[in-house]
Amino acid sequence: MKYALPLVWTVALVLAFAAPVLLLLGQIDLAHAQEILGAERFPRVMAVTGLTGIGAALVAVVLGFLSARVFAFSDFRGKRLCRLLAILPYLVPNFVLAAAYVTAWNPGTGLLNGWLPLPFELYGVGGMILAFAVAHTPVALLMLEDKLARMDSSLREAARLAGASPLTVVLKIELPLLVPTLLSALCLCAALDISAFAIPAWIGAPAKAYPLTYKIYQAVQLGGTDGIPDAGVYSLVLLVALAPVLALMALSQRREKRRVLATGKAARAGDRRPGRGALGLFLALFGGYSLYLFVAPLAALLFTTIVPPGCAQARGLACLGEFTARPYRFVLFELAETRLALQGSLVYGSLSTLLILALAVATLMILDGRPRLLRLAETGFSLLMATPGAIIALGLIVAASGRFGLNLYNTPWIVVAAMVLKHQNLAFQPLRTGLANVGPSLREAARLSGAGEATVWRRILLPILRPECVGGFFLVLVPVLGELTMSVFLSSPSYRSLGTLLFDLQDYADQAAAGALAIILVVLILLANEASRLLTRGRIGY
Amino acid sequence: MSYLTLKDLRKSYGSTLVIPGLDLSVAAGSFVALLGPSGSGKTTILRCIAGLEAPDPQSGPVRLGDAVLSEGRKFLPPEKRGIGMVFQNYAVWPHLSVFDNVAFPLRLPHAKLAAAAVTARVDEALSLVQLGAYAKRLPHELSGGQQQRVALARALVAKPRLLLLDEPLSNLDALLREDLGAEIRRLQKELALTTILVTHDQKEALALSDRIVLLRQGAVAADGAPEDLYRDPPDEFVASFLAGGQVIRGDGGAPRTVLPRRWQVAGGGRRVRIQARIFRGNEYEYLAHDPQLTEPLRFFSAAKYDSGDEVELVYGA
Repeated sequence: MKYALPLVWTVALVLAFAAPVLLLLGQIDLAHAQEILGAERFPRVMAVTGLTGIGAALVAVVLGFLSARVFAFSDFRGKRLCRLLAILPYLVPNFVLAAAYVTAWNPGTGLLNGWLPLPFELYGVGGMILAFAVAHTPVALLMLEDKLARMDSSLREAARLAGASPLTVVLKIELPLLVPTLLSALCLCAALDISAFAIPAWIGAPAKAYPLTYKIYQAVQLGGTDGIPDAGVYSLVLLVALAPVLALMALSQRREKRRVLATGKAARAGDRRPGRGALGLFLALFGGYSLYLFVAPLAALLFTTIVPPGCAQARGLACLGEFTARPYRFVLFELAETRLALQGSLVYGSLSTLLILALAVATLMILDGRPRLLRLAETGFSLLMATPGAIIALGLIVAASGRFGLNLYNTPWIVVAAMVLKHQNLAFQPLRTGLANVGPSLREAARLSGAGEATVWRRILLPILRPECVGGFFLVLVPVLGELTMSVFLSSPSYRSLGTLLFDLQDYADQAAAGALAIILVVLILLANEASRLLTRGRIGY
Repeated sequence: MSYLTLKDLRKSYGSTLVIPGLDLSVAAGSFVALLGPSGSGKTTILRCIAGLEAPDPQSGPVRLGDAVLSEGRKFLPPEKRGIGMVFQNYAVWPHLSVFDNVAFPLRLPHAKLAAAAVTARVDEALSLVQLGAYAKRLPHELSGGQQQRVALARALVAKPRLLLLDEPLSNLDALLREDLGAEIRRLQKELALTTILVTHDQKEALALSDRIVLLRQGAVAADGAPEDLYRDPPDEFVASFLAGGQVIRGDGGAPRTVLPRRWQVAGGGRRVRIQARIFRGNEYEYLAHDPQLTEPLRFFSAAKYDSGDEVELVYGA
């Protein structure tokens, strides 16, 4: 039993987690695949996917690095607020950001076209790069800030004492030391861009700029279940396109672990107060960037929800005198679908999150002390997290539509299964790190006190890991609430999410209702983030 | 009469044999120090006794009283050994109060103790380590020394058959180290508890134990009473590790080990010239040139000499 259970558990996990993707790929007919890949429009799809993915990732890493340096190395009044503002685009779901951009800068009726215009057309590749870059700069910021904050300050101080200017220190010391992290961040941002659906749907599709994820959606929309083989081909191409990115990311992360930046005793990096001039310049640039590309579009979206429909576009700020809460009333109390969407996002979302957490704890308990099996589980979970939601959703449609004895299709449970597959890693990683940080002597002391392994988990480890469990819950809940890609493919008469409802409202051109729903969702996510910070005393949350 | 016996203990990590076959007997009620440099295997031996590491299958038996703790593939898990252990990093559970930490072993189902009995035993253990007033505190509200006392109380509260101390004082400052060391020794004597201390600190081993087992590369290099080993070290390694001995060469005969503290400044001895002086609080340590030796000679004296001064040294006076 002692050896059989971990093995059986690992085999069950591998089967359950790998089967959907493998079954989807099994649908592919090679002749049909050749036909799709040889089509005239296919190179353009690949060009849009590559350009938006890599272009936006490059911009995100550059902006992320610049802001990470300030947050990691200096302390100033209002830093937490500035940092929260910098990270907000990550907390706000992509489709809310995309909806805000459409409200602000759509070529016909964009509210900001007159005051704060974009230098290029929103719809198309340029707009997608911009939206992706704004959405994923916080990802690069978080990764680089963590590394910079842990960098031994004496590494930089030694260079300054040797005569290097601050710029030389950045170019010759910081950047070379950060190469693995920069590469890792670049790959992660590119992978997120390439896998995303909402921004292509809102900003790319109107200009017929279709990346692979949108082609998968189109294949299923136009062909229903008959379109799945087409979608399978695009999914395979998407996986092949992602493979080198993920491989490079894994390689960079291995190098990152080997590159120890903190040694011995050193002054804490974040204690320095920047000079007035430098701080002023940063705040002006950062404030301008946030205001222009994030706050203003969201404010425009909010504005359309508190004035009568069409008024904002026709009369601008003059509408403020005609304040109305009608879109909120409509969305919350009149729209029949809202109840189903709230139930889908909150009830099934929370349920998925609890399941994810329970599975992570059970995996850790069962595989505890078996590093190879744990690594295998961890690799599987991270691969699935990197797998585009569209592929997981389609895989589940193939695997759980009754052909293999399991029929979850058209039920909310297929969405729960998709969430578990996609987001398992989000709960597993912090728990695993937390467990690794519990000194072995804490368990050993309990064992020597007479406690068996189960008691050690129940009485010692789980109480110590409580913050990771609570934080993990919110860490998973936030992306589950903001999920759109999988929900779009898996929604049914018995399941809708706030994301899919917003997608439909936008489609039916009820901008005010869509905006109100987006604002409600942002508030829910911010509340979840704040709850996580409160319950974990700032350890988990932003 | 030996109480704990290890016969042909072997332990490997991968292909590295760390303990190549060690025999050790410990008498009931004694305080034994396992002393040795880093990598000598002392902690591995302690963990094999505790059951936190399984000895190699070829290993001989580890016995405690009448019980066989491990032998070949037979292995009693740590929770069934009745051993108390104090760790170097305290291992006090951060989410439990001082009282709950100490009560932990008594509240396990097999302890079958009523709440009142648990309270009485915990109070007794806490007063033994002079922490009675701290029962409600959480570990982060205590100093390092106090946390180590909590760990000691927790190890003692279940009335263990053997107490293992894994460098329990090395994370504490010098003054606390002396205080807690003395307290551990007092408790050990008071409870007549068989105790094994692992340490790399010679002074700690000399001050606390009845017997020192000096280890080198997983084998016993010397075994005896502290005074005997200090005064009459059997070889160069023991002399240099335990008593800071110095090997002197080039004296005409074979190399020999001397103890720097046995040199005394007195007339009629060997003439040396002072090269360097190091202030050591109540005395000075000197490095002196002796034309007959290949390396500078070390000695201690309360008197102050300057570089270049010449003095005469007599050994063993």
